[in-house]
Amino acid sequence: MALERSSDKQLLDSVESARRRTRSVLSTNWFPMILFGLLALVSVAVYQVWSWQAMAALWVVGAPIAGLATGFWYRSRANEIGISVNPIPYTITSIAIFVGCIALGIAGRGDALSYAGPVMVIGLGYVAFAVLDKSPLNAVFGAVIAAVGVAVLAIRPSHAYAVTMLLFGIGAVVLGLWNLLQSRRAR
Amino acid sequence: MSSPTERHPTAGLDETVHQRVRLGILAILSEADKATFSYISEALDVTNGNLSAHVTVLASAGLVSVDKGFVGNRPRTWLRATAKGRATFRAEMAALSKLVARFQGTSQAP
Repeated sequence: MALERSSDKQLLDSVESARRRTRSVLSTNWFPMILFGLLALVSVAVYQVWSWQAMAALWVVGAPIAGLATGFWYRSRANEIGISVNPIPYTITSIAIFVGCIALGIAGRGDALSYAGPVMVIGLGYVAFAVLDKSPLNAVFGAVIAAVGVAVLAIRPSHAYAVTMLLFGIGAVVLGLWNLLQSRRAR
Repeated sequence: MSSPTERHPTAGLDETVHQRVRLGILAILSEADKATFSYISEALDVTNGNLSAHVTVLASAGLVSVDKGFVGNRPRTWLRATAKGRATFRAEMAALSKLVARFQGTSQAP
């Protein structure tokens, strides 16, 4: 009897281990993290050198292209390694972030809401992605970005766009590189 | 201490899935949308023949579905957990956890 129960414990442990390994393989997200992080950093340079219109155009054109590139990356990765997640919740979250950013950007009419609103939406979107990926680290990152958006809306500091996007861009690239390192180690 | 009328956790175990490879297949598929036959055989460290036998048992019980297709010119067999398969896996894990907790409780008792 004791031997049977001990094998039940081994069975439970081996199943939990298979689940953890699968979760780890599926939570590889370095490509979109680095891509959108770099897009945010480039947008700061565009805003500083040219104008906010050029920066807005960069996001309107660049974000859907980066989104499509991310979709292709996940699809080719799934075919390569042989496992994939359901893409529908990720697609819905991505579209919600894009629409939310555009809507608040327009509704803000150049006021604080036009740059703080999208930052909050991006932060909340990353929390949603983190929940789908079961990644506490990314959830904290998303929550911090959303909180920064709220703070910017309340304080209205100068160079708010540059400060928030540098924070988001650097954070996303660092987390992406960390995820890349982790996924290489797991191989 | 459980009462004599309380249902023993072993009653909640499902004989179809109470097996290392079959439970492992459902564990992987419960985390993913779908996985290939070769990914699962590598992850669980079982031969294709062995895995095929277990997949047949799970598929005939309606717990997994099997889709054959191609990626480029290469044939691929994708496995998915059905709604019944996911529910059965959750129930099995709950029963197994209960059983192990109960065993650990009795083995640690003076």
